[in-house]
Amino acid sequence: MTVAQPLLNRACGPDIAFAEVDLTLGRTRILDKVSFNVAAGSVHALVGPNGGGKSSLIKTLLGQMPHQGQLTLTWPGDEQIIGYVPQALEFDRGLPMTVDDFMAAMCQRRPAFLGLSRKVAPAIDAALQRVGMLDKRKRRMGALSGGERQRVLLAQGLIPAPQLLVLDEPMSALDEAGIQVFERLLHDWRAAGTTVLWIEHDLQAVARLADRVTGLSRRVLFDAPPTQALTPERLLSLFSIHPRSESTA
Amino acid sequence: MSRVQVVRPAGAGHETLYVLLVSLLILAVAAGIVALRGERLDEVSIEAHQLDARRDLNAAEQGVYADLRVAFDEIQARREEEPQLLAVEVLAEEGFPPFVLDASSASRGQHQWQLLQERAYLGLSQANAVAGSFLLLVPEALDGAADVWLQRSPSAAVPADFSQAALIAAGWQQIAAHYDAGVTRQHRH
Repeated sequence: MTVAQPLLNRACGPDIAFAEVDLTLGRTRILDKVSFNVAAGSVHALVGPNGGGKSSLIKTLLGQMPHQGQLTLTWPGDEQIIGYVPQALEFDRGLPMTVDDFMAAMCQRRPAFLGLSRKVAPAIDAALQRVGMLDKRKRRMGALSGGERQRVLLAQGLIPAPQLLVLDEPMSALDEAGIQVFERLLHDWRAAGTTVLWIEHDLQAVARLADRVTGLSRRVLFDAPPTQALTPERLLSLFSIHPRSESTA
Repeated sequence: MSRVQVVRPAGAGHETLYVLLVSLLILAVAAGIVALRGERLDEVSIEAHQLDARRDLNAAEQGVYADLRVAFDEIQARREEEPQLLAVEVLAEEGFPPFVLDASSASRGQHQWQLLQERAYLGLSQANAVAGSFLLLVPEALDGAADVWLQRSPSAAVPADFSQAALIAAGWQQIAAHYDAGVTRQHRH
């Protein structure tokens, strides 16, 4: 990896450190002493069973949960932009909102019904181009397929160019073409030194695309590069009903 | 140059604190406005020669006083037809308390009523421990208000002069009724 080394050196994304992060909602323990690091400029995948606390961890990172413990982001520069791509967008399918309207609502301060602002229009054009949705920008959001809608959500995460990208199962709704788009984007982010925290169920994609992978089921079960982490025993224990952490295994 | 950002927990006190501070500020501003602009309306003090109809009369006296005010309305109405004041006997015959002699008048001090100089009714109490003697001054005007005086001492006598100063000198006390504060807000001093 002679090429990757100089690229990592000019990482512009933050380094994220979770230290003993606990999260209890009501009487349910959702996160239990979660400690791991996300290296600056890396693509870090988060895998685990449903209800394992992956989405809650991301909400905690975005400052929306009453967690305990220390959670720090170390930013290399002044720019501190976090892009977030949710798992799905809930809205009325009959809503007369076009792709352009949605992008305008997400990316500019000017009300969307007044049209795209001249300042962000080139960025929106470029983002839609990157996800291959430029020719469908006048379509209603409700009329798009799930994969196309997911691509629009990806496009909105690109504006403004983020230093940290948080992706909540971006590939689950994507179609074949969308997955190629996503892999290209992931490659671009890695090249730009953007830190990517990525929740994923497709373990093969994780093995192929991530730099490091953390198995989360209420607590951290493993945290290693994909080739070491994604072994059958570890995965069986991760997705079992009574997950055991490495230390107790 | 790198910057360390610590993600603060949501709803872990600081938001509550801000809400609390804002509500305290609103309270302080409201209290300030009330303190600066508020006026007290319920501080009507009665004068030394007066009795408060609501607080200073006993039960029998309150009954007689209320009846006197009702009878006064009738007296005023009759004056429109006939300028003469109604005689005590007429009032008693028509059954107007407190002029009529019945069980309640007996229990309230058995006042002996008389009409004085065509301008006042005097009721001398026969039992000063139960109720004092009453004096109802009828004003000149047909739409004037009743002026009721009370004397609790057994030495109450027919007043020679109906001026306020003379009545006070003779030991009478004016009954004052004012409707400024609710009974529930009263507190005895």
